[in-house]
Amino acid sequence: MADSFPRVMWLLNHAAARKFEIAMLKKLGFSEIFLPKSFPQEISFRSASVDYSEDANLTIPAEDLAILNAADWYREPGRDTWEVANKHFDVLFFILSDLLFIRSVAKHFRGAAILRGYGLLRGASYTEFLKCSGPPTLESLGRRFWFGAAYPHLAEIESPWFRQREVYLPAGLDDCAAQAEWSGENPTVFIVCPDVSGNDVYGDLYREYKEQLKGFRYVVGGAQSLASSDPNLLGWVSEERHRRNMREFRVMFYNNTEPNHVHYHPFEAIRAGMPLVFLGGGMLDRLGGAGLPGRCKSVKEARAKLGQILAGDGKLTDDIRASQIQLLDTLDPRKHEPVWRRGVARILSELKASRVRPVRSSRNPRIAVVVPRAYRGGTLRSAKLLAQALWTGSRQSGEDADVVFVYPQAATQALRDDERRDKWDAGLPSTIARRTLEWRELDSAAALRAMRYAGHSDWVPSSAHYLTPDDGVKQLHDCDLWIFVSDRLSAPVLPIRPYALAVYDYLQRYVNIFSTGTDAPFLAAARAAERVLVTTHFTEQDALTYAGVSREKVVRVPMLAPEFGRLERRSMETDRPYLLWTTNLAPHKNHYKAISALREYYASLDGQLDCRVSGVDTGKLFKSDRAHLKFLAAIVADSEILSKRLQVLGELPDNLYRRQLANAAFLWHPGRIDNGTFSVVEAAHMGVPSLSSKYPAMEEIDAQFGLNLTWMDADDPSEMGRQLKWMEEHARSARDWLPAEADLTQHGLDQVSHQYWRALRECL
Amino acid sequence: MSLRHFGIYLAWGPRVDLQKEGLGRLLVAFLRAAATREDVRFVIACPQWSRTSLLTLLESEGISASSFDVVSTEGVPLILRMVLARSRERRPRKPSLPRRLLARIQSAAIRHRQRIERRLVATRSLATWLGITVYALMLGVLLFPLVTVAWLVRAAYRAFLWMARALLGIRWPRAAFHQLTAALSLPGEEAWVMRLYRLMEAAEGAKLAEVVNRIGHVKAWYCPAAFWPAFNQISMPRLMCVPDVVTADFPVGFALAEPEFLKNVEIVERAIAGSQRFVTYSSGVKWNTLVDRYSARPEAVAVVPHACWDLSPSIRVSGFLDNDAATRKYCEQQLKQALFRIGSNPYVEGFASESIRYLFYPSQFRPNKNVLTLLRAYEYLLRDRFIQEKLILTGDPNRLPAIRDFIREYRLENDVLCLHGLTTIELAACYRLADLAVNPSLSEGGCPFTLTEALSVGTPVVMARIPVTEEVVLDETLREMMLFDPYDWQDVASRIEWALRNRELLLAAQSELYLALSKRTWRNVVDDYVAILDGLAEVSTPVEAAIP
Repeated sequence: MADSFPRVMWLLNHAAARKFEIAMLKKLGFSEIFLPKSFPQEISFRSASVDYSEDANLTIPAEDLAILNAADWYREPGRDTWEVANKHFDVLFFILSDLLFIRSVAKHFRGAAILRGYGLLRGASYTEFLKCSGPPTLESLGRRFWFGAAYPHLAEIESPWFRQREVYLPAGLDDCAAQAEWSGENPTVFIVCPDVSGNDVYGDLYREYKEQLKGFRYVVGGAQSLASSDPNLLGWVSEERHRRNMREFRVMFYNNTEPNHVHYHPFEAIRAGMPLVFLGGGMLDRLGGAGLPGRCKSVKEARAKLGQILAGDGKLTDDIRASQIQLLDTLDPRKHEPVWRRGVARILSELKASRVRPVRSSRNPRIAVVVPRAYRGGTLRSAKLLAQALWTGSRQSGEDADVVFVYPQAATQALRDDERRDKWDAGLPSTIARRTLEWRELDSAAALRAMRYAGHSDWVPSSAHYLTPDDGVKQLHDCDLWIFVSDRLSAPVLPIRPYALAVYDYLQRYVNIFSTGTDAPFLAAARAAERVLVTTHFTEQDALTYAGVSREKVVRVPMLAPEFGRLERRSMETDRPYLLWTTNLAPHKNHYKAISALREYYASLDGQLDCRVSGVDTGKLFKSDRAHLKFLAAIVADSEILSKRLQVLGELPDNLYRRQLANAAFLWHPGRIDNGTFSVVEAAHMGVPSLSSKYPAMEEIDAQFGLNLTWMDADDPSEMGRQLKWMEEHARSARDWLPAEADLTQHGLDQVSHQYWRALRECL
Repeated sequence: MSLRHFGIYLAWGPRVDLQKEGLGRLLVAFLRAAATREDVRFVIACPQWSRTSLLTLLESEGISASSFDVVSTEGVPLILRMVLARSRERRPRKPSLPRRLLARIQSAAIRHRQRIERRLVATRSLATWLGITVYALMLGVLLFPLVTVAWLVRAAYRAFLWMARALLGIRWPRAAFHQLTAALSLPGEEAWVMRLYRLMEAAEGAKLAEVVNRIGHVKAWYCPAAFWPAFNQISMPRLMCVPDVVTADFPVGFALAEPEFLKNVEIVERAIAGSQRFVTYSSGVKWNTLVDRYSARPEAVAVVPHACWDLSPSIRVSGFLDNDAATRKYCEQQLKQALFRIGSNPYVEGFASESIRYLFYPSQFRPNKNVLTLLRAYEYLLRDRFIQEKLILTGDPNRLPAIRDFIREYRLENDVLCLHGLTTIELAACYRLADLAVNPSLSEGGCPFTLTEALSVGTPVVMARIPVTEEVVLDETLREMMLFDPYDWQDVASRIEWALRNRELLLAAQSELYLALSKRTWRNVVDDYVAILDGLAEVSTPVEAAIP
């Protein structure tokens, strides 16, 4: 960083503004300025262009410059890019384009951030616009934030905080020297109105122009991004043609009465010497146009003046041309230089002051992995693995993070009392802290108070109720990021901390598990999250096309497989051989067809293997009165062979489950659709092959782990029965197709943790 | 060749928004192409009540008013003026002057009260405190009568409103009125209001025909729809377009779905009966509908197929480094806008438009459109084949309860979106962003527009195998790829699934077809019509005006 003048990032691509402001910054003494090398390919960026010329003046390493040049400076550059930016730059100018970028600046930039305000259309305020942003807001930058107003009155309609942070940095034209080339030989009114089809605001403006100029000959300058058959539209023209237009058209009409925004083209016309007729009441009045002969109180007056000028009224034309020059003075860089100098001096002085502060001991970032409901089985296991992955991945990246595992308080008691089940935190390393939680519901008034206390003065509740986790300590407010393992949040989460979701499936899209509309809050929670982690392509697509989450928020991470140790197989000849069916009571587990398949297997195909059933709540499999289960008991009772061969083990502690698995002929997974089951991976670790229904998530698991699963059609019990028989006869040879232990361990937690860390560190 | 004049007769009712009518788009395409012929000039005849919206539509589409003439009836029926005036009253207006004045007074009073309170709590002086208190009390005493009077007036006004509503709510006068109108009606006649509306339309159509008959220089007249029997009162040579009479093939469906449709059909049949020369869009409609069902002479029915519908100009963005990305972004913004405007719940309104993938079938919900078959196929594809696209339709499910009920019964509310009321740009955007366009319609006047609309923006399409489509898709291999049996939902599903998995292959094959079809332009269409009208005009004897 230069001693007096730090490096500056000027993150705009507006060609006309760049000409003036870069020259101004250089006059003030800044010599190293970074300009963005891309901009959104959107109609609203029609005035944008890219300029590489300042790169030659930057004295930062080439590889860092390459990183900055490749970044998207209008949405989310990424944490690593911000690290590079923070290393070399202390001042940043940006505009209000995407709220995602606003939050990114607030989260990551450590220098002075100047929001460049040129005024919004239709009287809108920056404050109102930024209310939609959500935390972290620009307020969190404190005194490092500045509202760089281009016109002195802009802050009048803004919030008190905005007004307090205002620094006036006037807009200007790089070249205000009036030209003497105007001839006006073409008796045509020249107006400028780009994108009349592609932009509602300009479309409305053009309709007004057409009405106001009825009967006059006129042409419309400005690029038109969408084709139009309107013969008056000139569309994009070359620079040379544009200058010719400015020389030859008789008069420019400017009807904009916006209080806070003025365009460049009236000034370009004045500079070219073209007379400007304009409607009063807008920004031009504030800039000195109030008493000019070209100013009109009404459309009627404007039409009269236009008519006179087109008819060749030399006196009016000369009066207007002579007097309007004073409007150029308001954009003169020489006039603005002292103002810029003062403004920038304030910015740099406060930046310097903000850096002289006592060194605080910093702590590691802290992430809470929250199981929002009392899940057991696969979801609980996945949550613990996620916590471990974050802990491990952060250390692998050299960015140590602390992880807190949080589980519902009420459920922990129940599990503690049930000796048959593993404790809720069983298997979790001691390096991961534990807490329990209860959910607190806040009404909108309480939510507003909480957010105010947390420093979000502009936040406005949009829901009648909010949820927040309560750990009995600080409501997890000591954590920097919350990750909910599941999207089952019945109300919006109070956005006092950023949160991510780990969503394993959107089963409700395929299976009738709850009534229409029940998942509305779950989907809303996903849309509001910083990130939605998924582990399969299938769920990724559901997150996009069903939940409607923005594409950049959905991150696919590898499945996390638990560490499985091999267990010795006992000889199968001494026990009755069996297959192991791992399931639970959820409707998508396809119980009816599975039982039908088993009946087929035993009764028609002389099946030789017993069937042992295990999993969460499976002890109630034949006692449940749930609609999809209540007939199972009768089916089993009616079949003597089923009653004899089917054995329900219920929910087993992990070590006992593994023993059952290790001695099974094969694992059976007849479920219809979900995010896949790791039981097949676990089985492969045990050297046990699996017979599975074929659906997208299982295909992905099969491909990722190289399991060579045997498939069956979950909708056809007869086919399932046949496959059971085939598997019985080929189980030994199927073991040979299983991947080697070494191949399986490459998918272990240590190998993939860094991907989890990379996905979530952006949220910190 | 000297300039010839031909006429176009349009007699839409006052409630019709031309921008939303398919015929409106057809008219725009026709007139835009007709403007390129220097030897022909069209005169449009329309009721006065349509004149402004017609001119606005054409102007907004860039068609210069100098390229055609417009003749209209004089004035507007009194009853319509009364109805229009009443509807203007209902629009929300800004608060009246007294209300605004009151609001200002109240605001000033509150500010004054707050000042008094601040002084009261801040003062240390007993004298000041007493002074402020006395002042406040005096203010209260002065204001109390005013406030009381205001309260009484307000209460009286509210009581009056309550009584008025109670009186208006009394049922017996209304019941008596309904009894009277029923006694004076024939069985099956429409309700009174609808009847008056139709009578007004018919009367205006007849007046328009009178206006037309006074125009001598127009050699022949063309009516682009069979909705207006009064067209047959024109004495000059006439050509009537009959796109299709679809109720014939779906009698029960239309009888149940739209009871009021019978009157429309009767009007159309009256129009056909009174006409002698016809034009239609396909051989199928010529022979099966006009010749077989309505006994038209085959030599009196011409077939003029449409040109391609190219939607790309309304969404194709240019002038950027990556025009494709810019176009896509623009379309996503249009879709987002449509979801927000039309979406009936927060789920739809807040959907991230860049994330959505979908099948698209833009059509009204009518019995011939075969929507239920598509829904059955979609439900199977979603829940059994696990395709993850949504299905976007553009009809109003309340018009056909069977569709609404199916969506509800099969819990498809979040996956089947009915975006009813899309603008043309939004329609183009929806086509552009769709993974696949689908058209399962069982009956159309010509090859469905879906084919060229979708391909014009680079989206492949699968369609029902119906005669009008087979008139256009001639290659058997392509037919195998893109056509399905519309009576078999499983075939529909199978074709859609194949198309999704082989999208690029299908698009490549269809692009060749589109290239061939796009050689027929709207100028070609206009030339064909002009040739027919020239032929009619050569006959030269004014046709005996048919009795409506």
